[in-house]
Amino acid sequence: MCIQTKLVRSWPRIGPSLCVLLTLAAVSFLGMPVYFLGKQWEDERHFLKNYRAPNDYETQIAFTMNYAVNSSEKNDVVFHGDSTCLINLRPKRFEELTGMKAYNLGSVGVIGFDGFVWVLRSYLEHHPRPRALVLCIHPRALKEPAMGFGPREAREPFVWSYGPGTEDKRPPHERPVRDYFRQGLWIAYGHLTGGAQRYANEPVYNRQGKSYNTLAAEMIKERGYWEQPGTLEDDWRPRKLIEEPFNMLPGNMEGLVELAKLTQDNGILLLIRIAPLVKGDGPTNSAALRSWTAELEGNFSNVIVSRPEILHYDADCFSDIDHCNRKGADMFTAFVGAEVTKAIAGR
Amino acid sequence: MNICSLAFLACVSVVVIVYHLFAHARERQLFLTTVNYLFLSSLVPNVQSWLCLLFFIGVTYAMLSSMRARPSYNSVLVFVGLIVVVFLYLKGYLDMNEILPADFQLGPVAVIGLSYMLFKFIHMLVDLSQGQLAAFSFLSYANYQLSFFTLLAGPIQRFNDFQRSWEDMDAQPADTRETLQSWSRLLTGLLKMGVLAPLVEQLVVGQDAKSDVLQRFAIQFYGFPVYLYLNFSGYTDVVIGCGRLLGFQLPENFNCPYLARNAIDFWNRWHMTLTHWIRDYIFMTSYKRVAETVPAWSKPLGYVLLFFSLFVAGVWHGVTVSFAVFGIIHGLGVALNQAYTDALKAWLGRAGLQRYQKNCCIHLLAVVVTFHFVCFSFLFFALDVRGAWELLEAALGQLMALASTVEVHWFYRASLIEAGLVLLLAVLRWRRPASGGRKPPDGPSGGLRPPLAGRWLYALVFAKTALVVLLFTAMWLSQQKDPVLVYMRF
Repeated sequence: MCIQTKLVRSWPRIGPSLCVLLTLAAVSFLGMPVYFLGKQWEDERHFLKNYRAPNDYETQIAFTMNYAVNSSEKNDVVFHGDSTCLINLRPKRFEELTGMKAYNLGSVGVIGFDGFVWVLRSYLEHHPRPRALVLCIHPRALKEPAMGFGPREAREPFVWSYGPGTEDKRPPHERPVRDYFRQGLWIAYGHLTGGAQRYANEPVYNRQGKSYNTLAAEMIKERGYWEQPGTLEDDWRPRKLIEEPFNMLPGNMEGLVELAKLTQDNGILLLIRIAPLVKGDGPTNSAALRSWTAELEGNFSNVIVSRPEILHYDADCFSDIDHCNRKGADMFTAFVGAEVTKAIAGR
Repeated sequence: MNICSLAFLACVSVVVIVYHLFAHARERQLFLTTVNYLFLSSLVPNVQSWLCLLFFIGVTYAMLSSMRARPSYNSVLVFVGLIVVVFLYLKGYLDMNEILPADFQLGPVAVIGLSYMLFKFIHMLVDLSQGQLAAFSFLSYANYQLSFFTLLAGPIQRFNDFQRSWEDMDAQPADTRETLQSWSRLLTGLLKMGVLAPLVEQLVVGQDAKSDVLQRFAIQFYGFPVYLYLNFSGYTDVVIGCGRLLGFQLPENFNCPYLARNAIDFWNRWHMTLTHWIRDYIFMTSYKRVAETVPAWSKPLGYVLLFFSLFVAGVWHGVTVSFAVFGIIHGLGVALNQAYTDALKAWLGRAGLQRYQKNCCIHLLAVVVTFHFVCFSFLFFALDVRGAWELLEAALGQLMALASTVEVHWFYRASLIEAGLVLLLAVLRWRRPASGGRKPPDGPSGGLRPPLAGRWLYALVFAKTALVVLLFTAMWLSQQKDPVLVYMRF
């Protein structure tokens, strides 16, 4: 039987089915560019989205990386680390006290020690090397994985956009087709509604209604320092997170060693300073921490660990249990200033 | 392959087109066998499951062949007994790993649609012993058991109906209108199962444990039956549409079940093919025996058998206490309902009973009561006994406390709205043109009235396809898991 006869006889079945199939095919055809748009966006390693305002984590990471990559300023001292560095160390105050030019390159703990290394590497590629690097971190950062300090939606794109650039660092996708398609739709929406420029002027979550652009201007003025106002509530409680035993996470220690190597190779003094804690908080027995820092100092001639390992300040120096307010930041900056001056003079 | 997906929709359209490009029935049979195999292979997780499936099909075919050669009632009993043991073993209800040697111990197997295969086999065996079964071959038997449109959760098609379609293989396709109506039904099923059911499920499952207990109870009580109906009837619409597109007329499984006027009526409208199977192969068979053996006790024993049949239907869903409770509730409901009808008949006479049944107010009241009875029973379907009991206890406690106040609470308002909805549905149903005193089941002939012109049907199918694509894409983008057919696990 020829194909024409077959078609004529079966047309009552084939015709409508073809109609359904063509509708599906047409929609799939229309959907393909959206999928590729989403995939391309990720391939291009954009960090900030073009369809919404960045959140507080993204803002901080983007701002730090922007300075590391797009500036060529010379600094004598660079502060580096997690949010305790960002909020507890005030470069302007440091400059007043020591006469050395400083910049705060601190960001958020979620980028991890490997992230600290990538940020510093980018900084050194674009800036003259500083005399000293102050690594300021919360004690928790030594014993917990980076993911414990923020959302994976912040860390994974950071690793992909600013990490070593290898394919294995691509953000994991359980269902890539769906994820790229969804992203493509959002990117298209972003293009149509004004893109990243528009959203840089919209309020950033958890930043008192300030936009990315406003925050960036403020931080440039403060040389990377971010002020966190307020005072710790009277009913604060010590957290179990840094209770005994205080053991350090091997992965974090490896990152710290890599950072020490990087500074040693570049002839930079590395001063490690654990962020201050509220009186009554934190580990009482820091034996493991002490022995490890002593070992690190023994292995790297450029590394100095600021002691005592755990500093305690009054509660009125803190805006929350982890971060200082302006008063605490000034106290801590003065302490670090003295330590840095002593360390540089000692060399 | 998930039946509720755009991939399935695309596959069905390709299968229908290719199937109808084959000229001869034999070619189509082989093509359908291949499609069934491919569909099955997407669902069978490992080699052991394949072996179990092949074993089940092989053994049941051998039993049927043996029965064909030498039909006897005793063989039926032996074969049914044996295959039920195999079924219980494969389903994991019989833990025989301690008795069996290590080589025969069952690992993780998942034989899809096993209970439906068991129903079909018993039906074939019994009908064969009575000389009522059409001729069958291994190919037709395997396709009957494993056809992709009835594999997962029925409907339980009778073999003779399947065999007619299997021999014909849609040699003379109906007109375009019938095809469009089949597509329309399939697409409606996808919308029910893939869009509406998940929305209701989200409402039921995503409840905040801290929210008002009456609100939680009301959502669980009314929401779950709606979800279950949309899920299962949506699936049924999809597979009936699929079957029709390939020339297979599958039986209906639903007929407005929540408008049933009593428990018996409910089971004649809900999962109808299962009810008919239970009626034919459990109730009627045993009742016939009882009536022949002890005719004086046939009536009271009939109630017991009714109870037993529905209890079996409940336990079939799963060997858990909650499904046993579900079965007991429905068994009691059906048996008491039959006893009540018999008592009314004795009291009012046949004419009086008819007048009673035609009374609008009584009908409406009966629908509302039955609906609540069914919703109550589904509490034990959705939750375990402890969970259902705790929810009931908490809700009743709060209801009692509220009843003592004069404040008109939202719960009473919700009840009023619900009563209004039932009334509206009942009125709409009565206003439909009757055909022979009984509404035809939903289907291509019943679902689209008045008849639409061909081009409008094309437009309707096109619009529904676009809607399915749009909504499925939206659901796909916003949701982590695909919609799951509840009855697939039974």
